[in-house]
Amino acid sequence: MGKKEDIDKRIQQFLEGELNPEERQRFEQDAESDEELSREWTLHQDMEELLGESPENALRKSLQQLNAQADLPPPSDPSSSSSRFLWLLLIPVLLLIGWLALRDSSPDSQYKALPPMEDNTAPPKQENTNSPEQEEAPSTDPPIANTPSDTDQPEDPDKAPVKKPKKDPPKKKSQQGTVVDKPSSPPKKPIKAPEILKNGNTKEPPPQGLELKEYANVPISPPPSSDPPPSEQLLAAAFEPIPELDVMIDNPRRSDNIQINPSTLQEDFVREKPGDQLSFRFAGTITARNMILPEGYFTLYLLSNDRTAFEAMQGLVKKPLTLNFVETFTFRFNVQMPLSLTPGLYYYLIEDGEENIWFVDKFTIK
Amino acid sequence: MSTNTNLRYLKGIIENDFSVLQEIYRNSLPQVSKYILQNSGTSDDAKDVFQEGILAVFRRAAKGDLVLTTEFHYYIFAVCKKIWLKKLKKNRFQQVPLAQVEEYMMEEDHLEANWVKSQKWALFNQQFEKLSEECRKVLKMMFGKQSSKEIAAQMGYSEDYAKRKKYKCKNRLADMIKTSADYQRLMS
Repeated sequence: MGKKEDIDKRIQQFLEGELNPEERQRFEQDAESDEELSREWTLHQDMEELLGESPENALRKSLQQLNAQADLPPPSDPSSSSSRFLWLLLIPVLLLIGWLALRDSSPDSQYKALPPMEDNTAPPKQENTNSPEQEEAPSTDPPIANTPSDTDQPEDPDKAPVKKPKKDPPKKKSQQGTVVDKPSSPPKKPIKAPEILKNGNTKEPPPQGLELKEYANVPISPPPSSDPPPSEQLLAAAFEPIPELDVMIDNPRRSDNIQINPSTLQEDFVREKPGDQLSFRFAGTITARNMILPEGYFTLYLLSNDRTAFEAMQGLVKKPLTLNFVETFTFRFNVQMPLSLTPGLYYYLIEDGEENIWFVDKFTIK
Repeated sequence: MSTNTNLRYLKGIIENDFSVLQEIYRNSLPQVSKYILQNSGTSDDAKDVFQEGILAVFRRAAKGDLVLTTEFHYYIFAVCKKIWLKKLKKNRFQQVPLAQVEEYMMEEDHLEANWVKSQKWALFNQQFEKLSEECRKVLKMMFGKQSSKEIAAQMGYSEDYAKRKKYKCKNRLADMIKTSADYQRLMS
């Protein structure tokens, strides 16, 4: 038997309690004096300590998982400090250029990307037979503030991300919502957006257009009763689908790291009378591996079928998802909120902090 | 940050509460990372140091002799800063203002030993995962101080076979560890 085998056998006999007291004592002495035995015995003890079940090892496992999830920025370029300084010098120049550019543009140009608004007091200026660019030309109407909030500033429409699906497969029925038959000739008139109600049914129509709140507890009103009932054409327009979102319903974004598993989806809703509130309900779990989720990383959007609002991601509701820890990597969300919505087609979706849409579904109000 | 938060964090670390650890990572790792990146380190260094910092807090807290007199965020930052400075072999320890951290970190042997221990832990687990599922089960029981008889009962072996099996698996793992370049570097 070689020395290695001899050492292994002595360690085994020691561990199995097969040595008599004298042999045990000799083993312990040799484990300190014999270099090779000492090395093997230390390795055994290390394995026992580091691979056994102990609170410290359990903590190490968790920390290792968190390390794997942590997404830290790469080391900065050593030249970054000088380039930062250069940027500081460039800022006044850029500001000047920006100011000059803004001065030359129309004061209303910033509203180009906002959805068209029907003027209650005046007829539309022209029939909607123009190109999309013409349709979105600035008007003298005041801007529509679609998503005012204390915490979420309205996005600059020019900078807002426009979500484009990668492919355009044929449409299918959504998971829950119902697609209303598309009218043979799409309506040309802009879709009339609802006004806001604050504090239940107390109507507070903003004097210069409509204002929709992001918060779930602020119901969104039906049109004021003085308005004429929506025409058939308007209703049809309200049910016009957004193909890009329909594609995402049928082809949700997939990743090994993030998975969204809805357990409760919002179902179609039938209003018995104007002003009926919908109890919006959407729940499920989010699994997020290999990443640390910052608070509010996922946002729930509720959108009408207004394409312009969709492209600017100006939702009727924009609400950071509250996630509750379930188990490692898995979190539960449960959104319930009362909403008053006019008849139409609505989409709700979950977007992450990097503007990736992970989940889309839709429902109708009839 | 309140005392309650400090207590919650310490409790979360001791109890290995993943959601609390996640919160700690979210709140404190970026600062530590920034410091390490600005001081010749990489993102991986930052993660290793942060992990070591949490483990240092765990050991102190588990002994029951850690009472934070400052916000946890500052404490863990100071601990990690110390660890990183030690790692860089810079003798600037006295510049860290927290006496509590000084006291702990005066035990520099612990610091080095714990760092090596963490490296070993990662290496051992990496090699352990390469074993067959059967070997992993047997060794888990063996390192959990279960006798050959208990292992035999759980695995459906004879006692004699269980004894042979566990040493066979253990020796295989030991060989894998010893022949790895990382282990030789650690032990040099």
